[in-house]
Amino acid sequence: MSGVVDGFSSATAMLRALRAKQVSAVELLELHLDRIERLNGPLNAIVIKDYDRAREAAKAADTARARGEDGKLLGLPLTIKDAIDVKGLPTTCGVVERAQTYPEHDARLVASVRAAGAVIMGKTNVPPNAADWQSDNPLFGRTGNPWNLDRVPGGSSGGAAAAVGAGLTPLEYGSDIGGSIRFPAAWCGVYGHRPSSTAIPDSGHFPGSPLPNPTLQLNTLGPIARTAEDLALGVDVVAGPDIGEEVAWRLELPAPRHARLSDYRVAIYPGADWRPVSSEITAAIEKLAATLRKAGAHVAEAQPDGFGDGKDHHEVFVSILTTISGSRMSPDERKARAEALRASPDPFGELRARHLDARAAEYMALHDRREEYRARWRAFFRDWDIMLAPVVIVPAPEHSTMPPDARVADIDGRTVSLRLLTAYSGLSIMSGVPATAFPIGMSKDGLPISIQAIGPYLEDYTPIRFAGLVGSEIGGYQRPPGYE
Amino acid sequence: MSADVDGFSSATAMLEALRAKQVSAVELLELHLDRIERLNGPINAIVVKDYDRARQAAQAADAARARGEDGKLLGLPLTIKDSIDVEGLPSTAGVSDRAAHRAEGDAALVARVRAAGAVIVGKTNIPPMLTDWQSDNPVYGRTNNPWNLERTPGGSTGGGGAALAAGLTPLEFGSDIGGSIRNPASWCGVYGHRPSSGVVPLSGHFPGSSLPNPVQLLGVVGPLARSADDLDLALDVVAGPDVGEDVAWRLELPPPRHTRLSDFRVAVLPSIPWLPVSSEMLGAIEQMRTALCQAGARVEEAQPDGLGDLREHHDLYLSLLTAIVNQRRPEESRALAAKMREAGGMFAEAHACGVEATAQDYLVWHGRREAFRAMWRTFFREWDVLLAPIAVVPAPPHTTVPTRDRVTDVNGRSVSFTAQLAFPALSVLTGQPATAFPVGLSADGLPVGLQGIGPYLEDRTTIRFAGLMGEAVGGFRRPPGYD
Repeated sequence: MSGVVDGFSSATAMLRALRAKQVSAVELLELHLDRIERLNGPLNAIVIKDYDRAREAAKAADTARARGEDGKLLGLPLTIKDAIDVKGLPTTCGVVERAQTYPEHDARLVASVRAAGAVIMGKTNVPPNAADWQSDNPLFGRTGNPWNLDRVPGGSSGGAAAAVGAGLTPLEYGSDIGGSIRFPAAWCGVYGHRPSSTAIPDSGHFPGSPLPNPTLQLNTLGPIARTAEDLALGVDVVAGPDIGEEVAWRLELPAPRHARLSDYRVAIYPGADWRPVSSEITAAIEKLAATLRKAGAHVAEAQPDGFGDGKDHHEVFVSILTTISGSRMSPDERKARAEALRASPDPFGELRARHLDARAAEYMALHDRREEYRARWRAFFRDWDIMLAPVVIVPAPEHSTMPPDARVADIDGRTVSLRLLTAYSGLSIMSGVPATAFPIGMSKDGLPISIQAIGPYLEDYTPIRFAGLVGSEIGGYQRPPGYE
Repeated sequence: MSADVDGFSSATAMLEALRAKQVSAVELLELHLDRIERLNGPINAIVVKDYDRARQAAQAADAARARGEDGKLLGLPLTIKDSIDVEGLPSTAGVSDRAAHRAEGDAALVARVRAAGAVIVGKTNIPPMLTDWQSDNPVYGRTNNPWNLERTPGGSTGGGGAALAAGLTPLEFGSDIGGSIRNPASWCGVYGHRPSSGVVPLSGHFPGSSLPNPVQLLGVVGPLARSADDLDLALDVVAGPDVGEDVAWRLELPPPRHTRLSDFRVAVLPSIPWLPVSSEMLGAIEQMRTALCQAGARVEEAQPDGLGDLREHHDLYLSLLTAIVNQRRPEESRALAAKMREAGGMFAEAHACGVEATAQDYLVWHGRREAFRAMWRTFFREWDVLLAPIAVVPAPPHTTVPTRDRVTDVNGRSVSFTAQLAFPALSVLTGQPATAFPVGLSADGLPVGLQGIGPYLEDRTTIRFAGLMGEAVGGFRRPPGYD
């Protein structure tokens, strides 16, 4: 096969090579299967392999292309997070009891991906129930970070980001209810996009159900890739109405607000003492701000009116999030979880413990509060195009056997509950605004440092384009050593 | 002014006359104000009058038209239900505590109606907190049915239904979480459309907030009128994404499935053992069947698989409804639930569960709601419309008995008044569109109406069906004494 693409090429470049017939879908698939067989072992990112069907799909893609057909992803190999239903494969979500749980249908997202001609190679690892920011489960074991196997790749789309980072897949679809696309993207040094809350169907996800549920507003499905351009493509293929809504609803995501970095009005999220961020990350953000200013962008510290120190926002967010997770537990599980939360170093542990048992009336009232915040974001983004904020508070931590609630990080000498990660991921989750995580440098320990660009609701292409422009300016994705 | 239109013309006909310059917006408004001043007193349908601003708006509409401008509702006078915010006017919800309340802004729906050039004449009456099928409250008093002042016009959009029937307004926007558009439409002999959920923005409706709330899915706002064409026009004006969603979401309601009655596949709701309907309603259904058969349409008794005797569907609806309407008083929930269980009745448990609902219940119930939605999707692959009653009897006499204790005599059988909620709820739970239309008059000279329930987001199918049925069986009739 031609040398025009390798395992680290972008999905867009691979598709260009496919269209130019510089490579066939079968060749491109075999390139990836070979890499997976050689490199996946110690990383343990791709945990369900579907080689036979992938080979059939690749052949079919080549035949279709030979007939003159095309498709947005025709012949592109990719992987799917093991929380999203792919017909013929189990959706285990890292839970032993679900090892043999086969969905009846493809998730709507997977159906769109298939319809676009993609070749699904397999599924990527997650923590049990997708409820952690490392990816270790009793069914498939632990996923490592391609930059340092002793570090977590993040989670819950941890296998996803590790596979993309290691060049085992060019495109992946993950999910994000608490940061699960952006944490692993950040810790593995790749690009991840959490879409606007209604832009991509989230039916066919576990936890969740094969049917939509409009009263669950926080979870989203979205792409992880090695370039911003690939994220835009990944969004374009799957964005649209969920099951039943396509009868009359159409989604037309607007183009990015600006095509040049100099035209962007960039707000920097102010810090607050209760949510510290490692000085390595804040220094990288300051450096980026200086670069942006030099490029001619308007850059200043700013946040939506009424955000204050962000504590109230975070309280509403964790209240809704914990109410949702509590709704999936038995009374005994809720009781045990409440005890763990109350004993945890999370300053919001008590509030969360209480919301495990929230009433319907509280849930509705919390969504009234959520709408107030959404209105504030709408007003904010009339004056600004992007808000830059940390996406994680430390570079990838070491694997831990402690339960998530008990985990802490050392941030410049301060011991902080790692749960405070969600003080930054939740910024976009609660109000359903889109957020793109992207790499901006390396730590002194040789780990990726990343940031997120939060954008206006339904203007997903704005933060994605911004991330791409920054990548062109300072360099984007880097290959981890040892994965040639 | 020209005799081409009068107080009973359709909104569409009035707009044609405006466009043809056969009548000016000012003339059309004065025609209505004159009628309101002459005829509204005894029916008490329009309870907030905004004549000064209406006259300004009508003059502006005429000026705009003189400049060559047009708008979907340019110069059309209309009324809005009390519960929908119109800037500067009261939204009292029919409770004394809110009598002095004035809306700070327009509801999303009202903003669209204004942008289309409509002239808002005033607001129409409702029951307290919109929770009755009569429209009597301590702020504005009681609305009466123009067909018989001793009868209720229905509710909660009772003032709206009465004003339309009496020819005081050609178009009204109401709201429906338990039949509140369709019940008064049927008891006053007019047309009313409950839109598919999510199609018309609800923000700015009270109870509710000025912002959307995506986890409350049952309530909708929609039009009432004297013709199906008018419903279609009104829906066209107000349908579209809610505040903030318009950045990228577009709504393109598909055209009606059929344009001739003969092409419709019409399911007739089988009788429900626990919910008998009066001979008038059975007669109306029979009349429809005959008309449909004569037209060559396919007509059969059928309902979605799994609907059974409707108990489970209705239990779920009642629990969700009760959870939503009691949202703002959680502290009283335990006592309220105990009271409900003590009072007993077929659906006491469903109500009590709703009052006591945990967030877990609420989310799980919406999972079940989605399963019912899937069931309806399947059903409407085979059928175009499900024909069903709205109420078990024509407009009953006014009563001061609380809703929960009310009983209705149906063919000699005593039926709980609230049980008939099951008919409008059929479309509410899953967000199906449903159009109420008049079929004829009962032996007592009261209107009898039915509803056509349709596939989700195919609102134009049920509206067109109602229009075709109106042509076949008579449509809107003028109540005597309102000329």
